Amino acid sequence: MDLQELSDAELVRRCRQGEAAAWSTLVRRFQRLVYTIPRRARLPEQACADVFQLSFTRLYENIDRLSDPSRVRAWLVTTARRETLRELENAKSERADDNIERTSGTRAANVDGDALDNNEAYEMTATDSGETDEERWHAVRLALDRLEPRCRQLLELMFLAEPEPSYADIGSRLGMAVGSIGPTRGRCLAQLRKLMAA
Amino acid sequence: MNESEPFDDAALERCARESRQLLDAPEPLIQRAIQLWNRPARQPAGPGTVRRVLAAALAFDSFSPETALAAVRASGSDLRQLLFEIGSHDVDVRIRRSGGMASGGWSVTGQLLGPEVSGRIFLQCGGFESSLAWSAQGEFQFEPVPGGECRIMLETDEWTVDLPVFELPDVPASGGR
Repeated sequence: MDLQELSDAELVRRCRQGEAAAWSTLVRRFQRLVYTIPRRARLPEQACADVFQLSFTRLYENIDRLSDPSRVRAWLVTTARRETLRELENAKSERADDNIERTSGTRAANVDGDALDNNEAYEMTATDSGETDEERWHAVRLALDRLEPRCRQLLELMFLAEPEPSYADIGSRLGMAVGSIGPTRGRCLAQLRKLMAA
Repeated sequence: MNESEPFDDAALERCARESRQLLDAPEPLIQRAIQLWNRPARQPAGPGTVRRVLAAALAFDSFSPETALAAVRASGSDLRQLLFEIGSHDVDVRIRRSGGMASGGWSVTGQLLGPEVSGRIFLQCGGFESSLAWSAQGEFQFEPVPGGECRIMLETDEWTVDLPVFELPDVPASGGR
């Protein structure tokens, strides 16, 4: 069975059994989700790399101890957010120290000032179900990746392409009659919904 | 919208559009996370396990990647040398034709130059992956290594670094020296 098709819990279980390919699949499945968290907090590239590396290091070191493997996504999100907040706090402390010791008007902290100012505002934006924005987006993108190619192409063009193409452009690129795009979109969304519920 | 409620089309479309904000991590970062698997036994993460991610730059390449194989054949020399700078250390990498893989592979050797530090080096070339601890002199050797896009990652207790990607041409097994 293709590892991509396995559930999060099954991938964790295979990692625990020592299957390297399962770890690789787990990293690729969650890389976008984990990397987006520090990026959205507007941390600089270096700090984003640190958060990313640390999040997966902690998962690697604790994978045998996850009490609920099906919650590995939430575990990673929480870890990445905590490390992001730590980076923001560190940078803020450095900026405060720098303000005290400032002699030339330059700033030691190598972090976007806006990111620091957003620190207080940067908090979990979870829905009632406990899912964050990033987790919902992640779930949609995973489901999109699993759609049959024709539907995936159509929905990616309609919702992910920037700038958004017109129906005429979509029809031309996919060789579809413009009049069939709307009904096909409806069918593809239904498939997407089914995959997300699975 | 949440997991327990069905998505209507409008909510699903909105969520898909918003998902444009998800960003792919750079491939070297992903590779480094995958390579965690090759590390020694898992240990609980403590404050001391946080590693800085260093930047690396190629300072010298004795052959351009495009002409490496041709140059090796034409010159009779079988050595390609690359030097990477990573802050307090340099990494000297030497690539030769290998006698292994029926003479169809490469030998990748080298040395970490600078203050003494222990750690591991990971090499990935195409589908080949291997890792080892460098010696007390900072030396390492991988052989035989197939051609392909190659990544080298070094890791100590304090820092980790990905060297810039370089290419090794495929060597026909029949094309011996």
